[in-house]
Amino acid sequence: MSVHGRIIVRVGDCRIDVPIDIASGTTVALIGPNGAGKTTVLRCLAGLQPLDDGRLVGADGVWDDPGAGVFVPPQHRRVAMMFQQHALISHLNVRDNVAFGPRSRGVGTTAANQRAADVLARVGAAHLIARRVTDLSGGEAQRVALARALAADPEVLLLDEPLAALDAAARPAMRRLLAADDLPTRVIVTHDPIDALTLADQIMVIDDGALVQAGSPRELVDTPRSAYVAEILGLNPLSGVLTGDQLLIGGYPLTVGAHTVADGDVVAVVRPRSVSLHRSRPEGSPRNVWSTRVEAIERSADRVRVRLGAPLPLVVEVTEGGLAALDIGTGDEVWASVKASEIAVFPN
Amino acid sequence: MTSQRTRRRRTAPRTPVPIVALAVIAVVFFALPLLALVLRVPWSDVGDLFTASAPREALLLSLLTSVIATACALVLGLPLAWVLARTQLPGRHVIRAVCTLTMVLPPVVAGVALLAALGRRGLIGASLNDWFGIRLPFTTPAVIIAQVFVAMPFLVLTVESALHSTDRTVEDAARTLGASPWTVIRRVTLPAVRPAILSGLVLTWARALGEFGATVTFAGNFPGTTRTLPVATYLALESDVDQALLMSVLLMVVSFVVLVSMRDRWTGAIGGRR
Repeated sequence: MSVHGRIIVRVGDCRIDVPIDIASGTTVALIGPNGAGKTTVLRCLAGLQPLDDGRLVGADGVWDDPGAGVFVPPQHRRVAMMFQQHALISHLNVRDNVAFGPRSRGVGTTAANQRAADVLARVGAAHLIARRVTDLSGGEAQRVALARALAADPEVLLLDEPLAALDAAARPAMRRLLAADDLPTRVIVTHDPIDALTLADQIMVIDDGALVQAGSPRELVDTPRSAYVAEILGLNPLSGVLTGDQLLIGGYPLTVGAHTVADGDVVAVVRPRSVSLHRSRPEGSPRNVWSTRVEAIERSADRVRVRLGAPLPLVVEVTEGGLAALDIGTGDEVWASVKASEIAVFPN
Repeated sequence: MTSQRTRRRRTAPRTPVPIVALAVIAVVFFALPLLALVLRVPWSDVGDLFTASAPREALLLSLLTSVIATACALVLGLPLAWVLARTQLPGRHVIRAVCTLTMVLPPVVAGVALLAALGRRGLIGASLNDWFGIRLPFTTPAVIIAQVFVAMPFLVLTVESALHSTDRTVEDAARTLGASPWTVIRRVTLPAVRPAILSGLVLTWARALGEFGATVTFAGNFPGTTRTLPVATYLALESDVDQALLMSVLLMVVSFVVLVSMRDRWTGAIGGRR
């Protein structure tokens, strides 16, 4: 189901004003720092938080229009929300939790239980059906929560940090489930750029209650409109001074590729995967080669991020195998290189 | 050396003697009167307690009125607890204070207040009398009203506290799954606070059963209609001490059973979490 409109709402001290344009069947990621208003946007879409102003229109009609006095409560919107902490009903077992949606919409017990069994099987949790929800691990509980949301047969699936409460081992499986083609329209709140970039068709970057930039992952990565967007997407924004194809960052010169930006203060974006690491000075074409030290190595889920020290504080993304081949650790000296064409510059 | 260290780690630090001494005095202070009561009871006459009509009448009246009072407290107290816990009603702190004041008020004062409101010349009582010919004071309904008046706060506070500590996101999730507000209350919220409701009911019932001051003041002590077990016990002290002792033990046993059956459950409910 498509949803569009504009969410204007005040929660505590935070005013949120975000345009909404969700195309049917797509996955939209809301990304931004804590307290930016991402979850509030989700709650407005669910109908858990009425709008103060603006308007929300689903494909089936107006959902919320304070000006016209229209408000469709959550139970009459075809949405289901999945919460960060699974929010399962602790006095019901797994099957009854998953059957809760159909039962609430008037489906008979037998049919609802059958539906619960089907959906649990679909998310690979059929074996959990008779368990008490208090006995589930974090990953299992989140699977059951996803099954419960899907069992309600929603047109829009709202996911609030679906991966944040999971340990690293449980994440890849949940990520695969969330990426499945047969799911309804999805809105995912996340603070992890990798999740946003890999799961979403559209990304909305939100900060301080406002939409900073919206676009496809490709558009955002290629042309982040601000250093902030680059930063939140984990794209290594660097401030510097541009003169022709020469970029000076904190006194260190880099050669950049073709661009249309005027000389002066700029922000350069270096994508974490476009930097190569080497044990010794590399031969060949890259124009930008420098020696540095490994400041930290961070592992998140199935990838490794290597943080480099002076002269250029960059984060480099490598595979686990690539890191093993390099055989480097924190504090080791390393050579880094990046092609001129891989450095994008934007006016600051 | 290592054995000494492990031993020290295992045992709690020694409790200072003055604390132990005062705690022992506190225990004796509670246990002695109760023990005296049990020892003084003429156990050979226990049979008389149930054959003699007066105590039996009082016991039945107490059971009947306290159970009805508890039911009334449930019907009124649950919605009140809900409003206090779940709405942004302005002045709800004042409302909470007003609705729980009788818990700390001297029961006699509660009785006088009920007379002032529902007595034959009372604020509402006068109209009830003039228009409908209803006179509440000194009737069995008055006993129940007095019990609800002083006992309901226990239910309200217990349930309100539990409602505060429930996970609201579970209710939100249920709403987005298609549950109407009533379904959410019935299938999510009430089951979640069920232990607190049970604790509140038992506390309320125990308080209603033991009610004396407000009952005597507002309902009097007419045998068969308003003379409850605590009232009968007090009166018996002047005529038949043995009977008073027996009835006291009866009340004590009931209270003790309630306390034991609750154990950690009530502290959990009142504290909000386990």
